Amino acid sequence: MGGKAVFVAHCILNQNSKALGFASRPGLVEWLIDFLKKSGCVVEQLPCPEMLYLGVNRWWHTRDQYDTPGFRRHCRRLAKMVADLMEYYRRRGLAVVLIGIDGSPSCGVNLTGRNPYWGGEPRASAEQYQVVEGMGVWMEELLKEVERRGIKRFKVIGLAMDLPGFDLKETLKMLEAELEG
Amino acid sequence: MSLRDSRSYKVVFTPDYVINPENYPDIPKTLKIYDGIKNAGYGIVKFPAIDLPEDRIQDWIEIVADMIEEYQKRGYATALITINCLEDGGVWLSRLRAELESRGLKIPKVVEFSRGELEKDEELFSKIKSIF
Repeated sequence: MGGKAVFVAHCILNQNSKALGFASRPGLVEWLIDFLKKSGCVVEQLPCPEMLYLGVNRWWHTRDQYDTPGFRRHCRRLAKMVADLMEYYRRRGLAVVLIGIDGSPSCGVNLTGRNPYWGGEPRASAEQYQVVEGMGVWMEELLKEVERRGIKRFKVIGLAMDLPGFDLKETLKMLEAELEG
Repeated sequence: MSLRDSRSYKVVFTPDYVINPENYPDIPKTLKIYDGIKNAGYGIVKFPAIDLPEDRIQDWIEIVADMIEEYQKRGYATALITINCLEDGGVWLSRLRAELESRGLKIPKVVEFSRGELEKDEELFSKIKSIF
């Protein structure tokens, strides 16, 4: 299973970057990093575009709110830096894998969060955050940069670890199969 | 959707070596610093691999400095781990220091590990536990 450089969403190594209310652990998501290291993977940490753009005291946001030219430009700058690193690992003969956070407005791979009515006075409940099929803004811009450079297609995995019904055992089984070969 | 918040408000900035020791053939291939950080409940911001091309380094220094600035402003505890047998501590320490100084910021507490310490479990774990 070795020979892979796995790029993980920033908060997997640093829960302190999460929007307030969503850090499920004190420091890092140990089961995932332990699994990747036991599997012989190199682990790279993506920057968190939300934290860098709006800081740690940001309100909750939906994909709709992050879908602005300014935030996308910010993501494109970070995407260039990350794509450089991906090329660096590919030159060293490692296969690249990307792991995002399903349900996230920026890091979602298969699922993201929307509500076109959020805005103005900050009054919101978690129930109004609609988890729908789709990709977060950061993942979209990163994969656009990857495509623009012609970097060979690689596995992109979304982990729904912040959503109800998350099954750790099943997730580890899925990861094992995805990272095989 | 989970709404509890368990963050530690403690963040350590680490060399790539801490997570990817296999990238560094000349020093012990150990994940002990990672294990210590994990057990202490700190978040990690990892620098990219130390042999990143020269013209790419400044961009990473700037975003790391942005994070240090933001965490310090909001009252989070921050520290910087360095490895004394890696060039510039494995974190481009001199460049980072210059970037932070240009912003009028203090460099976070620097916690340096020597090659010898990487092989002494008890001392290493206790040093990590007492960072903050």
